[in-house]
Amino acid sequence: MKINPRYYPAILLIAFAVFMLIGFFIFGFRPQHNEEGRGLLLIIEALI
Amino acid sequence: MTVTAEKQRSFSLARSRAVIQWLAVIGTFLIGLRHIMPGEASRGGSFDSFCAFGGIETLLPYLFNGHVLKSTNLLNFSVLLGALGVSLVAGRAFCGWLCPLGAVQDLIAGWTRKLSGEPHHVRGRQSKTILPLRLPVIVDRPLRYTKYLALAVILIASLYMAFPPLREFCPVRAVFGLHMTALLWITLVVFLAGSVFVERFWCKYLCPLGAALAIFNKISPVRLVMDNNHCNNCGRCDIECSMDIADVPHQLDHPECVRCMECLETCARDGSLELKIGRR
Repeated sequence: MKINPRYYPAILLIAFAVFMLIGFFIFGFRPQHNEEGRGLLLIIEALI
Repeated sequence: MTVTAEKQRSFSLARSRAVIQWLAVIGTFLIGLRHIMPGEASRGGSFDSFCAFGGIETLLPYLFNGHVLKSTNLLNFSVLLGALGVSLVAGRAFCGWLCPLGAVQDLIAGWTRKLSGEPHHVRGRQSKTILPLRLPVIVDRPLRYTKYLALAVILIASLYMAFPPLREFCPVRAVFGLHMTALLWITLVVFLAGSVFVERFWCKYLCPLGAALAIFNKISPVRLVMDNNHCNNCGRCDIECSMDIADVPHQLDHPECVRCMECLETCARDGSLELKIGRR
């Protein structure tokens, strides 16, 4: 399917923001003060 | 000409890219500035923790040893996910549009052309300036594999090091970090000199993040497609390719392509290159 090139920059920015926010909020990949965070491990442990 | 067609013409991918690149440069500079402010240590998150490649450097220690490397933190994985998201959708477009280092190299290449005697570059016309150079294929091709080697060495080294292996040689820290060491000064000089002599020198030969994202050019759904019925192989796109890919219309999924879309912007024949989603 053809895409109008004018949407290309928006596609990139949205993809970057959405995936980064998924990491931030869903996987818990965010700054930890003690720099010893366990974001994904916590989710995996919770699921298992 | 209709209003819609006129609007269509007034839109410029190159201009949009320049705006996004400037935002990336300013944003990274502000992050660097923030980290020389007093009290930075108490806020959490070093300069390195905003780096997508930091996520790759600290991935193996995180998976195998259960902790991230010093000076990185979990935020690196979020930024890395952002870069991977862009790559999943549109290949190495992160390098061409969002990477602050790519933006700096594009700026340097533009200034180099101007200072070498081409004040106004005409799109699609071969530049008569000596700089930036196009290295001969016999030198260029083997050098392109250096970044894959660098990626492999960094991944292995990351398991045995306390800090990210690239940290002391990282051009992002050298350009934006504002905490300079002797090694970073050397890195900065090599990076700037390299970018003056060869366009996108770091991306072509040394960037391990580019090496990691290269595979996505083969699988990403948003991509350029060439129409044989329209393209007359005029070579205008080859001239504008900052990654010096030969025969661009037949190499649109090339791992070196940073999806900057300069080829699409330069193409003078409507329908020769089209942006599409999906493999058909």
